[in-house]
Amino acid sequence: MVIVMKLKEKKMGLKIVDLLRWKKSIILKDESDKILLDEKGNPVTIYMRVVGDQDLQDAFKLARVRSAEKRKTLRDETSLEYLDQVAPIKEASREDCMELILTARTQTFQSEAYANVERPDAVTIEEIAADPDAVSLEEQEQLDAANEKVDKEYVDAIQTYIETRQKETEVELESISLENIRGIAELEVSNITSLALFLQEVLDYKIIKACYTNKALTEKAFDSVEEYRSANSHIKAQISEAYMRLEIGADEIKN
Amino acid sequence: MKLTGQPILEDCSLADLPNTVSYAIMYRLRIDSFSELPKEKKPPRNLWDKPYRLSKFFDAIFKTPSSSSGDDYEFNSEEVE
Repeated sequence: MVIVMKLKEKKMGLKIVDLLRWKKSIILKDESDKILLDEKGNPVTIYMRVVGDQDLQDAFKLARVRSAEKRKTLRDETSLEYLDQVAPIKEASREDCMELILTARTQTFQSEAYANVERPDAVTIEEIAADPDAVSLEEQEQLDAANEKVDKEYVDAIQTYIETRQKETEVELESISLENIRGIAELEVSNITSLALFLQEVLDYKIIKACYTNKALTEKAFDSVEEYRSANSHIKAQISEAYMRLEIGADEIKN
Repeated sequence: MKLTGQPILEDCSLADLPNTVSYAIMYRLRIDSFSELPKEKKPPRNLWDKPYRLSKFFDAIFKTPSSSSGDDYEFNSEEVE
């Protein structure tokens, strides 16, 4: 029952053009995929930019406050959230609890893998070329191939680490009583729910800081997170997807 | 969905700089600073984004000789004329 989480097959190495792409515009559409028009008959356009570092740090701080509140509520057996989202686990089967625990812990295993799996140094041209100052095309091709092999081995090693940790956890859980497994599952529900809330809060905050109604990026599209959240869900989906495509993750930059 | 095509970072203050760009610059500066070290003291690539392990690596590499090496001596003011 091991949950296999395939890592994204992505090429290591960030293109500078992706890094420097920091703003774009989107034309909003309705549910039937027709362009939304304003009162003057112009397409409704949102201009967005990647938020600055200060806004990002503020987003993380605010989101951590909300996720901490959520975690506390989900662990309070007298709260409505606990009764609604956590208490039903007291009736859950062993298989459901194990699946839930493994799913919740996979994120941790991935972080562990990046910390523990040694990333090999890239192959350098000195190791391949007869004269590194006069590299032939063939030697450059060999360098590319060697580095692609190194990157693939690294991604495979990460994947193997995650799968091994999942199997170990599964074996460990099989020896635990149903009552205790349910207890662990309850804890994991509070963890994954808090994490999901944290990620949503960060994204919502970034969006209200990132979106404008004019090309000069001076007129905010939303005055508050609440205003954005009260928008039509189809509109919100278009905006959030566009922002996630625009902003490169830190992991991609580091690669 | 289209790119606006405006000049990059036009009218941006440092605080407004996209977090991805400032992160990439900071990260690159850190990596480049490693190149100033002698080859044997340069941290391996797998430590570059692990601050705790990187700090341990530098502690080990730049470990100062212990005070009991015999090179130290105690200063006694009473012995001074």
